[in-house]
Amino acid sequence: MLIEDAGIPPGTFGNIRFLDSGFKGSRVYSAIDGGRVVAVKIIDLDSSVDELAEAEREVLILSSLRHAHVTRLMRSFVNGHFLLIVQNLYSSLSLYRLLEGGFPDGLPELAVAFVIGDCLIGLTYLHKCGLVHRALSAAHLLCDDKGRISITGMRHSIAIAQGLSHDFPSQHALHNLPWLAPEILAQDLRGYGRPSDIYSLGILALELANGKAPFAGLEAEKVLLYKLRDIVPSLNASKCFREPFTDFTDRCLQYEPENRPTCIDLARHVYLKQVKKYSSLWRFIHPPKDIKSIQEAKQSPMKHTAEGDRATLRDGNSLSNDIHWSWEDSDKS
Amino acid sequence: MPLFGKSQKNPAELVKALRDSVQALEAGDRKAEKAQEDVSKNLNQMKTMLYGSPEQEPQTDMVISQLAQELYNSNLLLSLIESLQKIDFEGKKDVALIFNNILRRQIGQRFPTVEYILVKPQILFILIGGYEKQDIALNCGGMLRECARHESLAKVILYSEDFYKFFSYIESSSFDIASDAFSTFKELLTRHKVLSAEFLETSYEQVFSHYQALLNSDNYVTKRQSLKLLGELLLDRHNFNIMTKYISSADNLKLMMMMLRDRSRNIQFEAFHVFKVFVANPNKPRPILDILLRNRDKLVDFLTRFHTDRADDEQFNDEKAYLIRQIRELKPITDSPQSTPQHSANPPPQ
Repeated sequence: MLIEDAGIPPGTFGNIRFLDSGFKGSRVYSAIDGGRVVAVKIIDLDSSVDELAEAEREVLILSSLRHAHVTRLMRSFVNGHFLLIVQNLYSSLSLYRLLEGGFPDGLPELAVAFVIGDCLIGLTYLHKCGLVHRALSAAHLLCDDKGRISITGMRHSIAIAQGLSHDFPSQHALHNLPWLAPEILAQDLRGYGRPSDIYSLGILALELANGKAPFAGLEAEKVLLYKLRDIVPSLNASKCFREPFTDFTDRCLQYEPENRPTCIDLARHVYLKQVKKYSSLWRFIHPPKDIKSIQEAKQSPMKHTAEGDRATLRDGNSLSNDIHWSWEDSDKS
Repeated sequence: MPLFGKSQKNPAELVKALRDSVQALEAGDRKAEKAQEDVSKNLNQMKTMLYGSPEQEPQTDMVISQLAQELYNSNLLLSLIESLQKIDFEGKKDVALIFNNILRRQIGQRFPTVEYILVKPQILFILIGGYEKQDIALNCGGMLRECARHESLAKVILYSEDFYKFFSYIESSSFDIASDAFSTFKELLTRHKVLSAEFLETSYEQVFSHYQALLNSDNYVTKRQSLKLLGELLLDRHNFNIMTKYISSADNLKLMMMMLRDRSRNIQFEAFHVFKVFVANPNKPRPILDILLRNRDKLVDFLTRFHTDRADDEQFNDEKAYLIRQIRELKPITDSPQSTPQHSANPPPQ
């Protein structure tokens, strides 16, 4: 069975449908679990030495959070060497896929304001819980069928004591480079804290408005150099942004962390005030006719993932199958 | 005190208010909703007193020491933990934050909260029991680990019957609870080297008969984590006597040889790190030597092909080469009339 191969125990969920593939080969499905529509993320714990510890971090952080704009853990369990993380999202679509599927040149300015507004509410909660997210990006925002936004990607986050951290996210730095604040990349004694997420929020706003993150496609060394020199490339010259938007992003992208506003300050920014009374992204853009169609347009990786699994199993077995240890003298062959 | 805003309760008032609201919550009558609100509010204030907030510095040492004293006198820590399930989601987190902060409090060499808990050890056992309740398991786990950092508290847990409950919590079907329980279990067995070596030695049979079940678990994570911890325990020099005992059992060797050929590469790899201790032992007991000799060619062949893609891991390759050499050179014990209890792995060529 294809589905069984992919790590889903048969008979546990109803209506399983592939949604997306995530970081390091994880896969996300939508499914029915005990009558509720959920998102099931499947992680292969045997894929690398560190994956188990990473997944533990993610699950433990997730289970300490409960907020309307942060993905919520329903349950997590192990099946063979796969971990299944069941989350409360339904028909979820990452903003990255939304851009890719329907808005290659970016969302309208007010739609961006709506997404950033929702994201900011979730981020305020994370900051209150003593976490720095460290990886805000369109790929880590999910939108449900009602047009509400939640933050995901909690495995990247870190708990900060005394408001500062010196931990360098070496596992993810390259992957998240465009969004990372200069002070995280500087890796110096000053460390970094909540303001680093505000920088990422600024990049995220540009990403949503342009369809692509600034720095995307540049070599890592160049991005590093630009960031440490306080250069943010302006992009998409054909697009003209209004002043509230540029003021908002300028404030977020201040080089010195202490010059950036806090979540609470930003929530009062005039750019976000324009959309305060709306509660759905679909007030600003048409929902993809069928969220499904975008996903099905992408080639489903289910099939070759399953084949990949079989291949790894074969490799593991090739070592072991032909050997039988001898415990007793009579076993000698 | 701030000029504007709500007036601040002093520690005695705050402890009393919180105690009263927790009691009202316990009573569970029609005022429960109001009680829940009061509990959250008071917990939040107490947290701010200890940790401060963006608008407010933490309170002075004097205020905090007053707060701690009030907490001991009123037994509020105990009743908060007893009522934990009834407190709302964020309130549960605040209880853990308050508990952990008060526990870390130090006066010179003394930890007054540790002394308090030693007099009220039921706090520890209620926290351990918390692993059985999904909605408070991780809050209790966090507090327990903070306790386990103190040797005297770790000792109470290790030498109690309740310690053995961890063996079932670790196999919990919920991944988050199992992971959290395992990290507490690991903390208890590795943080205080002398204490845990003493404990493992005196309780060897009981601990390792339970540990066997973890190693044989159907749960991939249980199996892998317990195998890895076993390797760490055996290779810690404080645990020399425990290692000697462990590697003289033929059953233990058989288990490791089975795990060497587990389907999972990570389990194979962890098993290697335990298996190597059996081979490197210069004084192999007869049953161990017999098994290794009986499988000598197969082992050499197997190890030669074992994880050959780890070319960059110098230490692993050195160890592997050493094991292969050792196994190749194994000599059977000759049944001479003299007693030959000591056997060298490298007998001089005859």
